[in-house]
Amino acid sequence: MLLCSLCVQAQDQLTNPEFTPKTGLKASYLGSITYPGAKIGIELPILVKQMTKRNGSKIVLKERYLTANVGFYHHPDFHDNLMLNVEWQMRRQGTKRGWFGEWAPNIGYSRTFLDGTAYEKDASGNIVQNKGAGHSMFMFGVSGGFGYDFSKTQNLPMKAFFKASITAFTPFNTFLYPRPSVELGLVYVPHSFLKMKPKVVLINK
Amino acid sequence: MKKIIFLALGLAFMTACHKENISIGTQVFDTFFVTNKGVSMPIHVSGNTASKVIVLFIPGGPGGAGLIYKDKAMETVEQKYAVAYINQRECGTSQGKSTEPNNMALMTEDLELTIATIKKRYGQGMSVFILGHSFGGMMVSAFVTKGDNQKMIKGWIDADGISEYQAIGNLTRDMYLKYGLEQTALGKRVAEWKPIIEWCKAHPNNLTLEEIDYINQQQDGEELMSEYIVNNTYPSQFSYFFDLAKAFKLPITAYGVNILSTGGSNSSLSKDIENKAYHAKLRNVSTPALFLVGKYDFICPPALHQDAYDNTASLKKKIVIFPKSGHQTYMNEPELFAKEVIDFMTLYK
Repeated sequence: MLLCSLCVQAQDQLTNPEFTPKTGLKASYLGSITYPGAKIGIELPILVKQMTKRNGSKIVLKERYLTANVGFYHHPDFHDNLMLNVEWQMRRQGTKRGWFGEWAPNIGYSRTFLDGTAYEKDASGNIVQNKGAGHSMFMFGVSGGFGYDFSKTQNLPMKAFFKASITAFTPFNTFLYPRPSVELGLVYVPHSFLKMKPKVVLINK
Repeated sequence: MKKIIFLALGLAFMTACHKENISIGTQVFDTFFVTNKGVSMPIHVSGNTASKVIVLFIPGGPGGAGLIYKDKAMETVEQKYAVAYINQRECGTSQGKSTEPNNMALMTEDLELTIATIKKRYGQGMSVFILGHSFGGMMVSAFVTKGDNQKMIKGWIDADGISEYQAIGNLTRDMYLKYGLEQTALGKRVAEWKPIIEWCKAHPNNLTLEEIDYINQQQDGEELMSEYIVNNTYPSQFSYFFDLAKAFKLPITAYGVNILSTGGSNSSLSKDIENKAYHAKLRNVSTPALFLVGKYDFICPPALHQDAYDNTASLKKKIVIFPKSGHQTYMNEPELFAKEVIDFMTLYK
């Protein structure tokens, strides 16, 4: 502890603006290995901690994004699920190489649509089709994965990522419905789109 | 960005609007849903719908999925007639959230609705039979003893069913004692039988619910008598379901949660089952009945089915004791199981 000096500085002291994360547009394949789906979203940078180590020889960025997504998957003979969620995305990466790791808890709303004709009894006691039958559920979960930021090495405004996630949907019968899934996608970072001013914290160790 | 969001919403909406798809043929597979009081229950119809004869298979558990039973026996039945594999409320791959605590009355209502739906889909002329295995046998008894329900069907089949919960404890104990004494006299597996015999002798009176649960969870009897039972190497329910999940695209985690939570002893359904007794009510049931019973069924002993058979008012009834079976007659002796089911349906369709 005595060897470490922790110094938190103000935002205007950030020396290299290229380290400041920008708003990104995400699109990904979302599926549970075999059942397909897709997801699009936007990631808004909220906070970046720039940690300088080894006398300035290494800089690590801890980025925090608020991500809003809309996604769906199709599970044959079960349901189609339309999902709206927000994630608190925590990403960690260096400044020289493009690799990053991230994990993100999320919460949201889901509406399923049964994948098959549904029937119910109407007020007169007749069996009728129940069009649009499905269920509304609260969803929460966590995802984790890794990716590559092409802007670090090839000056491309793109990131590619892979994530595995587990999401719980509730209410679902007597408990909840856990659904594991994988996500493979891209983030496009436009030069100027919905410019955010994330809070910047500089930490020297 | 807006276009992409609307495209995604549009895709989801389009997939949600399903055209009613009803297959009439000799080898069909249809899935549809029955929704009632907050829950959507998938029904899988497989086999020969052109025959205009269908049997609804009600799974055991509680918690089981209908397609678990799509095996050698029922696939043989499917060649001649159609089979509807049911997923009950909070069981199998059902989804949603029940608006009322789950119980036998609610599940019986679901079954009435399912039969009415099948007749709407495949025609009012469809001859409907119901078949329940284990807990599903209790569902069958609950259904046929309620009001005029028996008029909705051509016949009912109880396979290794449990229609009088509190009776099974004493009957299972007596069965353990009988075979235990018999096997030890033959010098077979004496060390294993001995503590069971002692436990049975120490509990000669009516068993409490806890004792019934204890003895019902033993299930050692079938293993101890395994040399008399054929096809008695069972895949675990989950590995079996895994294979079915691949074949029928079933949601594994949904099923896993349903069977663990609904089948648990603390579920509202499990508590409701504990006091159910239908044998006396069977005196009002005149619809054709078939009882399929494993000779070495220590979970629902043959004596239980004999009592149900004796109480059933119908003159068109039959009980078949499977000589080389335990609790899974449809797996132990699938050819005999299929033959009895087909013969029964052919006779009363």
